[in-house]
Amino acid sequence: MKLERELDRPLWYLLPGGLLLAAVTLFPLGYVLWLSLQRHSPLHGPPRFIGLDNYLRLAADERFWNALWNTVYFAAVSVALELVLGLVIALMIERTSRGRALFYGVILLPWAVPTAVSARMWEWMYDAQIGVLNYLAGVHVNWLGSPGWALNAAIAMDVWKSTPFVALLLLAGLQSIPRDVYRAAAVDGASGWTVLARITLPLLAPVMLVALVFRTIDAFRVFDSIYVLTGGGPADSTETLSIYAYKVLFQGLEFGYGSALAVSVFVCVALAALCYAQLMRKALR
Amino acid sequence: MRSALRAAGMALIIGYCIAPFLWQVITSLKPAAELVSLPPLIPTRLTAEHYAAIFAGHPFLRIIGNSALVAACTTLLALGLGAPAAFALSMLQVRGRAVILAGVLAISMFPPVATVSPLFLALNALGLHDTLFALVITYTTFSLPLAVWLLANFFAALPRELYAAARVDGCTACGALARVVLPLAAPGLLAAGLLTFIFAWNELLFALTFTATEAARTIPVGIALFPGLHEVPYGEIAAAAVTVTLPVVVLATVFQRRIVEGLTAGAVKG
Amino acid sequence: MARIRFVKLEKRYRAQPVLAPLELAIEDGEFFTFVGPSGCGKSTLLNLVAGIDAPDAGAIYFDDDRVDGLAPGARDVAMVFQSYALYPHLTVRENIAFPLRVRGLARAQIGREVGRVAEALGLAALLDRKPRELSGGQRQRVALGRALVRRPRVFLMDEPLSNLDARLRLEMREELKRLHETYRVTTIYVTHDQEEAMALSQRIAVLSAGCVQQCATPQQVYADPANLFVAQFVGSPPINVIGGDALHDVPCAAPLLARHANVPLVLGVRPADVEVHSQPRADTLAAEVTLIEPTGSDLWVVGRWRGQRIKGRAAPGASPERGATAHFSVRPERLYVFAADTGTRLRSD
Repeated sequence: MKLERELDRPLWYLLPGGLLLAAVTLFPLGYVLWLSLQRHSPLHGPPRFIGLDNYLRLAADERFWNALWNTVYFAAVSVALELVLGLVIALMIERTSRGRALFYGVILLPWAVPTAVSARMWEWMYDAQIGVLNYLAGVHVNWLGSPGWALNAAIAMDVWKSTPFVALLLLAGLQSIPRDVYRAAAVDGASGWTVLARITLPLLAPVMLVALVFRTIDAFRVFDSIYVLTGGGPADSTETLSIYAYKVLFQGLEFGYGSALAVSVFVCVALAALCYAQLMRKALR
Repeated sequence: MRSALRAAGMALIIGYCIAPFLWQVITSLKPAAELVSLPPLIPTRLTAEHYAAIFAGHPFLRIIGNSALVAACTTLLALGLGAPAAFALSMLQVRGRAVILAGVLAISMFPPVATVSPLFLALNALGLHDTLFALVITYTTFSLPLAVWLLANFFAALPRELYAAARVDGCTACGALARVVLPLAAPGLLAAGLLTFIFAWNELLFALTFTATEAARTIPVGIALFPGLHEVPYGEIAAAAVTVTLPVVVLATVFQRRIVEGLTAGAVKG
Repeated sequence: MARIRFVKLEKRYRAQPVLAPLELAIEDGEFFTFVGPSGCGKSTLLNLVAGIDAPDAGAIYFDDDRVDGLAPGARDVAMVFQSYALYPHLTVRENIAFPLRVRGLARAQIGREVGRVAEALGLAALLDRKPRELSGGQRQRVALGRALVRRPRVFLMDEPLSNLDARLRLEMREELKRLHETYRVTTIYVTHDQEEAMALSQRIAVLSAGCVQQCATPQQVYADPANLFVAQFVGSPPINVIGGDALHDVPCAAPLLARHANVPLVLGVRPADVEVHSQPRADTLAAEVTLIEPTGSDLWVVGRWRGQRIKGRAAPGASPERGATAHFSVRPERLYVFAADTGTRLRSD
């Protein structure tokens, strides 16, 4: 039942928000594309149109490929871990009925606290000399200072921060599975593991896909945690695309090349989103 | 046996989430002398020196105030612009509704780094560098897609005949929105408001880029750039972190059901 | 009060017609019902009158005012929805007062009007409750109250009784009739229940797939149906339909059939006009009894005759049994003749 009285009015409701969105997101997107085709830097004289040169430079830039690899690795590992841990947590919560309220409050904390604050907390825990992690584990690892460990340490922090969110999504998905399905399975004599593998997981698949999409896109855009934890080091081993682009833009003051890098981040995110859209369309059939 | 295992599992999860915070609290209360080595794990005596330091030595109160102001303004603006938009998309007849909603959702997936440089240049040109206003405008825009999408879902879940009844009873579309739809969608407004507030409170990249001095600095930037010449003042950072986490803890505990509702809305139906 | 006129009113859904061009007039103060099966377009029509939907062509007039371009609030109609659509966040009092508050009436006057309506509907004790605390029948009264309080020009009712249980439905039916006789507001009622339509209305329009099949008084629609659809839709139990070769063996039907001999025909006779006897009589047909339906006041007997199903009422004293042969007698003056291809009723005068 739709009211068709106001033929023009829906626009009035949509216009203020729409204008703001267009001005602050679509316009800059267009502008950044335009910038990426220029040499635009206060250090190099007036801006100059150079066509696709920035992108050619990007293709040949080793540091870019390093950043891309770091980003992909970060996204793949963290999302996989978050999904598995999130599932375990969600399954556990679903079976428990007491203390749910306390549970929700606690589990929201890592997600709700500013990433910058969390990163500082973890930086303190990761400290090679006086960090509590090394103390409790009885080892002496330079978590944030050695190229081998740093990215994984950052991943660990991101997993800590984001798993609760994934767990909540999956829990909501679990709760929406009709109880009768489990009753039927019990009558059919299915064991716990069979139920999990053959019934729960397939029915949960759509929600898992949604969680996967959100988390992958967020992981590709990662900035806050790495900026605070390592700043991109040591030796660029934690430098992700967003960090690299930021440095080029605001430390190197190269708005042209930096914009090309920023566009590459956007392209990655868009590609990931499209892949998932295709997967979802196939899954819906 | 099973329930004991489960209880242990729950304790483990709770511990996993809280442990870093606990450690920060402990750290913030440890005297500086005891910070430089481990053991001791637990401080032998508690001290408030770090808390005193962050408010005296640095304008931390100012920074908290900035964050609060920006987050509050962003939330109000986002709801004020988002609710009518969501209303139009879910209850009025708009052509290309599905496309608009999909587009709105797509915008929420933009990497901030892609738009930060043109925005930086534009804001500079407008003379808005280092102002809270710049942050409010930016944050409102980037939280609008999620707010609209959330609210549209909540509105669409209301019984359709209620809106028709209000119109037949004499309300204009706007009147029906104000008298009937919004009161009934209050939980949705709350959830959207909470998520927006938390987003604005936590944002780093734009705040880092658009502000330069402590006049407009917000909490994430303040924490990220915490000064320290030779050694990082972990005690003070811990005190700052605890101070900043407290309001979030309060919000998360009091409103946890609403926040969870907001986060999972629509995800189950996709 | 208003006289309602529909002029070539049309509604389409994606190029498919939902409402064929409608030309109809409803008198001032009349209780008029649109009745038909699900999907026939009756609710769509109501939405068009209310202003919830806009027509694709044609016009609607209240007296001499053209209303199809007006917003719902400007038409001075009141509507009772199938689900009542009570505002869950408001009390009963506030629900009833809502339309008056929207129009900006003075608080004292609102109080008076609400009190008046609450008295009339027996809601005085419930005024401070919320809808979720009320039973189905109570909610229905509140919905009525919200509509009545405005003294509208036109009353619209979209299957308001279909969510009630059977007994309550009958009670509320009487209540609605009483209300109409008291207030005499032009009412358009929509239902799929033909019995309800017959009991309540002064005139009925039978709708099928967006087209009006017949528009007449309940008695006319029952006794003088315009086509087979109307004959089958109205009346309970539904009319017996006999076709094919067996037609010519129906006793007393020959003269009727001869009058329209050039067209393939179908006969109809209502079960209430068919008497069932245990012993053969003149002009009866013998059928094997397949089903017995005792309803307290009547004993309905279903028989199988020449491959056709025929239902009748047992004569007093007769008690046919399943499997036995019973004798169905038909009164020739109660036979209806329809064209087999179009379903149009072929009248004999």
